[in-house]
Amino acid sequence: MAKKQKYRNSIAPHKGKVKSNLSRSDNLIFVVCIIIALLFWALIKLSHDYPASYTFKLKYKNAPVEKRLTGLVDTTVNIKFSAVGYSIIKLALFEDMTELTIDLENFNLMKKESNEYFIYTDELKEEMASRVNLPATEIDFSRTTIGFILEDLHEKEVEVLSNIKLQFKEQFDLYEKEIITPTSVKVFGPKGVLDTIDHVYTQNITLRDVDSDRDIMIYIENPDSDLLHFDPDFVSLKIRVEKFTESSIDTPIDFSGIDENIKSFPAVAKVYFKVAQKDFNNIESGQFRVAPEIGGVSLHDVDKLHLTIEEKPDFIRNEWIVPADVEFLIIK
Amino acid sequence: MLKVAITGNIGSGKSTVSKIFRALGIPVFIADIEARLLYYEDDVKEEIRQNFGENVFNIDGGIDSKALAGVIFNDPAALKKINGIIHPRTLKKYNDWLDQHIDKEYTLHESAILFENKLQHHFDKTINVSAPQDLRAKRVMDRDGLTHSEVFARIKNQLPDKEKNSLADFIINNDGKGFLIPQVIEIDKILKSIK
Repeated sequence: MAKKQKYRNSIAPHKGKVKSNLSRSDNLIFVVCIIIALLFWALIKLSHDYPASYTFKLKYKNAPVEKRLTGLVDTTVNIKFSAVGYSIIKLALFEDMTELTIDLENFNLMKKESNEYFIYTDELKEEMASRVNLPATEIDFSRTTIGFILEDLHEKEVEVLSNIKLQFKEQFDLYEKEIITPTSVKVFGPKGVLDTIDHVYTQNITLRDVDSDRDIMIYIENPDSDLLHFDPDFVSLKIRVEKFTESSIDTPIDFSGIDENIKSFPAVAKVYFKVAQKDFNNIESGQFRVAPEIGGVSLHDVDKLHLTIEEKPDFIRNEWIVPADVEFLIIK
Repeated sequence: MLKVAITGNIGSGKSTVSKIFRALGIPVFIADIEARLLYYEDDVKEEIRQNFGENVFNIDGGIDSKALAGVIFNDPAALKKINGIIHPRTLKKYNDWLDQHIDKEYTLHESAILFENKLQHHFDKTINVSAPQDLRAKRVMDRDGLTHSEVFARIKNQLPDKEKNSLADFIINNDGKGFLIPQVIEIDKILKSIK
């Protein structure tokens, strides 16, 4: 009797807790059963066939060598097929179903009119079938053809101009115009585009602190690499640089082109200029001729004559005259 | 015949103005050039040798103008002595020259130091060619390749433009903005109208 009482005493405090544990366990079993049921339900559902539809953005590559793709008639294509749910899930997870690249080398290009070509979508079916892992017969395209514009490539030879920026060290400057070799290149592209091109530029680069000759290879700037290509696509650029100094020379003002007997004040003008140091000793006064600008000027109506440099050595630059204007008398 | 003197500070453009007068047919005696030519005459060289010795002569017997300038630069007595040699001869040359142009309505005597040497009283009329000091300095630096300080060392030995203008009968403004020829023609008309 005492033993039974002892047992009751030991059970009594835990009675509510056992009830609670039993209730929680029942809930867990219920949830697990629901999940298993949903899983089986999903597996059964995914084993059924479902219709699928995808719209692809179209891209092209490998246009024929004598042609260039210049426009698209169709930019997208839609495909429809039926597949088991597993396959559709797999496509969604592992395949890019947004873009379709058409390798034009692998298709029969059909001419529609002028420069408009097309391919039959039937020819795309095999490729698409292997992509979605279905027989080709199961795939339906939204259109039977895909159109695009292919223009015949033309050729034109154009001059190359330098687009290089030179920043010289103090006193240094370009001795002569940059020498570009070759002076012209062949440009290949659609006729309509070639007609708008008279010259091409080198790439735009800047050389800083230039104080010596440079010989560089530089690419030609291609404004649209999809439309145009160059042969060659680079040129050689020779830049001759010299140290310059400022100098001046007194030059009598020449009135020989004027019928009247003119005396100017002063009679001599000073010509200032920049010259490469290597040419400095080659400067002679006889190389210069300063004369008044008399085109359209009535000598009796003006007080001063504007002077201009009529002759000068080729190797000087930045020249100016002091004074720029002279007073004069017409001697009767 | 009127005796007219034209002067102006260094870089003022008096030579250009003289050339305009010359183009108008007026004879111009340039005193500085005539004085410089005297240094090549034997009697002048001999007198300079007696006063300043052999040190102011080159090896070839010509006068070393730099050496002579060095001697007289800081010595007023030496300057007076050289002026005593040159000026009377220059004056004689001028008078001989005037005789050749007696038929002209007027003649021009160009000298840089007319007022400094108080020579204005030898002439009937005087003309000063005036220009701003900075412009004159720039002209001389450009023309003669002198430094700024070298130009101003010469400028300070001359009377200021303001003073020369007050002493002159006519002023020609050569500030580089206006025209010279109309001013010269106006003065020419006035001088020709003086009887």
